[in-house]
Amino acid sequence: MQIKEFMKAGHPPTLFASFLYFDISFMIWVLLGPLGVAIAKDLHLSPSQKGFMVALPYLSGAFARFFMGMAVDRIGAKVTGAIGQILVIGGLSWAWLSHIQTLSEVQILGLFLGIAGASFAVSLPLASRWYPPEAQGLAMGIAGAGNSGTVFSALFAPLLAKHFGWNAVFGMALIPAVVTLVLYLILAKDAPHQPPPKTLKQYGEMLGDRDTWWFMAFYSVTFGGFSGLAASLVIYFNAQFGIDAVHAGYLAAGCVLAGSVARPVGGRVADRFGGIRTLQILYGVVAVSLALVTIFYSNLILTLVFFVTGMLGLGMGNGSVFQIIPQRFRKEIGIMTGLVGMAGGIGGFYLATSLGMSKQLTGSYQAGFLVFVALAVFALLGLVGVKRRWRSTWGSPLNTTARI
Amino acid sequence: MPISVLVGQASLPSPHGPNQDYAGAVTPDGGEFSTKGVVLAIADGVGKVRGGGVLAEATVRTFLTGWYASPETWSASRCLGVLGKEANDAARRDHPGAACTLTAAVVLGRFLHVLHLGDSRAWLVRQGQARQLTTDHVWDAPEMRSVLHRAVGLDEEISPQIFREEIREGDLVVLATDGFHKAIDLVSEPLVIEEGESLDAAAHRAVRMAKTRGSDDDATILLARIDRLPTSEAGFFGGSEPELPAVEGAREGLEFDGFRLQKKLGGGRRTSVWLADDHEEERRVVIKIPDPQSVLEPGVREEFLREEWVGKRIQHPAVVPVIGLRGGRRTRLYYVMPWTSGTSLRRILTREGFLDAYAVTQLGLELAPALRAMHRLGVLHRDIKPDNILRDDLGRNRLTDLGVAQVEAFFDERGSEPGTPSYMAPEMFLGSPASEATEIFALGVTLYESLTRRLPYGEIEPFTRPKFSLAPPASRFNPQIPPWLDSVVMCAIEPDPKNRFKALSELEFHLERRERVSDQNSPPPVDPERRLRFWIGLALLGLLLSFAEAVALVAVKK
Repeated sequence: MQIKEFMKAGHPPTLFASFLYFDISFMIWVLLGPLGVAIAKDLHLSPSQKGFMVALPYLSGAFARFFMGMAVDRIGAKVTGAIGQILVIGGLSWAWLSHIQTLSEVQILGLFLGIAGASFAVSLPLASRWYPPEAQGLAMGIAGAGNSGTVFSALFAPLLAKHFGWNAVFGMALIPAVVTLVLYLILAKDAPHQPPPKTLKQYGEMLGDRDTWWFMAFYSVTFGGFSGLAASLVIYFNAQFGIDAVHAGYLAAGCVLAGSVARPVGGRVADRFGGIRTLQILYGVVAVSLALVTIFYSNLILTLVFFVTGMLGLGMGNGSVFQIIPQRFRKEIGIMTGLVGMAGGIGGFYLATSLGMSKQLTGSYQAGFLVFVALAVFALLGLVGVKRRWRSTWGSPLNTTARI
Repeated sequence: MPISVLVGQASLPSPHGPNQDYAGAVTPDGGEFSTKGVVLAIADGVGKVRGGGVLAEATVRTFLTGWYASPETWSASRCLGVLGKEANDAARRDHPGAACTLTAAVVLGRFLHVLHLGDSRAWLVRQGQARQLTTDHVWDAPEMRSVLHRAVGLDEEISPQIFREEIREGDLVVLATDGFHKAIDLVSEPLVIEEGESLDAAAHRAVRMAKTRGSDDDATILLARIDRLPTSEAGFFGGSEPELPAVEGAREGLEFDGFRLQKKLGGGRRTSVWLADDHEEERRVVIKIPDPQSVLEPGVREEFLREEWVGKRIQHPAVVPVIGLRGGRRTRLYYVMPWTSGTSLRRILTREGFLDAYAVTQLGLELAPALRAMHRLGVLHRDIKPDNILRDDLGRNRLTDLGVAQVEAFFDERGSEPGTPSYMAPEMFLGSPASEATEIFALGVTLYESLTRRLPYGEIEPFTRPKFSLAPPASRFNPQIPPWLDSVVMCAIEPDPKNRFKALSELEFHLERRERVSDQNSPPPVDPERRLRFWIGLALLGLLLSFAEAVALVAVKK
């Protein structure tokens, strides 16, 4: 599809609003990661407590994605998104105004922030339903390109926390959140033609297909890795090399930037060379990179380099997975986005928590990374099976309308 | 359930002479002809001195039988076009100087297919409202009102009106000659069939009324009422047995309908193929069984029945057919093929390595005519690959698996082409439909793979849009390949269809004569702009990396 055709085919204001909503939401979703160092210092948190704190938004986000996905079908995407944003704004306001001080209060905030992560389940259908089937992949790609929100968090949150205190940052986050909500309410519109709601039975049927599980696994590794690292890198640089939160934030931002710009590249590469082949290479790159991080753990330059290559691999992996999914699961794309998105969130939760626990129990993050490397290798091996099964005939002659 | 159409007709001659109109209809009652539908035809002979009436009768009779003789796999419009041409040729040859109109309609599935030439008319009456479907082929000027400019036997070439209309149960199709419609206009004065009145009686009433209104020409009318149409494709293909249950729990030793499953030979994602013993006919057979879970999915049953339907209609020594069973024997959903010793070409390539040049030449020479035979019937295989070729101990090759075959009769363009990506021609990735050229490509890739055990363009995954650069010649991997065979295979797998063989016969010709393909084009130039963008992209990425690192270093140094 050409760009001009694409622009005319759907609803650009909604597409933009979806992108903005997702981008700012992503920024808020991962907020506890960069603030983690400052919060941990004030509340005297142990490594596993730190890990769990930054991971919690991912867990609640995973479930929130599922429920918001179901709400989208029943009460409309725009309304669901508005409710989500209001809840998040509410949570941030409460945290800021009541000056939260305890770990459990931060955890409650974490649960609210998870709702921001569920924006994925809203912005993708909100935008893509305006577009014809052949353009939906691209529309979803644009709406879902909000990964850059994480970069903003990593760049600015620690700096703001240093000058104004981490509590104030919650308040400052309200500014983009409210602006986004206003723009969203003005610009976004539900597409006129809405598909019927997906039933739990349909989800169950999808889970009967092996490919569904594999793609949930693939995305939980790539997105789990990306988001888990996004949450944990600031704490890692701080704990491992003694770098202060602000500079750790810059380093983390650089790594996350690599991962987020790599996403569309991954999609293009998958388009040209085949998603499975691409993912196989990328899992290899990720496994090797993270393994090297554990080996060169005392060398900052090398650690940085390998995190960047790892993030490039993970970011491209995200793009590749989402190049395949709309095509392989064409009719059930709504359900798959829901399931796979949830798996991604769980992956992020797992990685961030496991890094914290690894540090707590063994004194270093190595074990946590190595388990993740093993998961990447497992995914790589899983691809072999998928490749074999996909080597058969595709498509059905009944895709065409019969002349009978 | 098959279609049910009731027909009635009547004809009254003009006072001036013998009746030159002729009308006829055929309503087959199930059996082999039911997939050709119901045919109605009406003709009005022109020029009594020169045998117009004789021509009208001959035309209609020949048309009716000709319709049922035409391949079921051809599209209705193709059949009508060919029959129209044959009628015209016969008219000019056997009845020179005479001409007649011809308006024919076929009720097939959910559609009415019409062939029209002349000034007889066809209408579709729905819920009391009549709609005229045809336009009269007469000169417009009032003084020339009844001069036909299109008719059977008039010119060397004819250009009939051929179209189709969607029909519903309860519709009434009406064909009539001008002797009727000049006196009565059905659109303004719809024909009412009284309660309990037979269609014949209604037809008689109609032509008598036309005579009362002053028609002094032969008046003929043909009525057809659509009482029942197939409700689904399964109903169309399955005929009298569309709702067969699936075979549950297929395993070695399972017995049903006089068959006993012996060994699983293979299977795809939705079907499994079994070696079995046929106790009734005392022979070994191969049975294809769809997976019971997938049969519940919409469309799968239809797909399977269609595959069987096509398989029964391709009769060629190099294509594995579907065996028809004694009526009523089958109580489950499966179909049966004859057993031949041998294995798939895929297994042979995996187990024994590549084939020699002679074997591959034979492979091409056996499959190309089979594909040509299929194409003549309007069927494209669309899945030619070693997995779908059976090779027996004597080296004879047969095509199998018509699972994604395209049948002209049932095809409407929409959706993406099915197939196996590694064997699909480049133009298909850009949206082109399957064609003889894409079949040549797939055959070429199969030949290449048989010679080298490699794919010329690598393994292509589904959901990709690959670029097809020049493939390495087969001789690079198998030095025993003679140059002429190399050039033939390379021509068959040319990315640009314009540079490929134009027809399968061309490919066959070169294989038979062991003749090299001349003036093969030089390799296409690599698109410089694309490469540039790729490298620029990569460089920018690297720059980004370095920038991030630089920022980091500066920050850390502080």
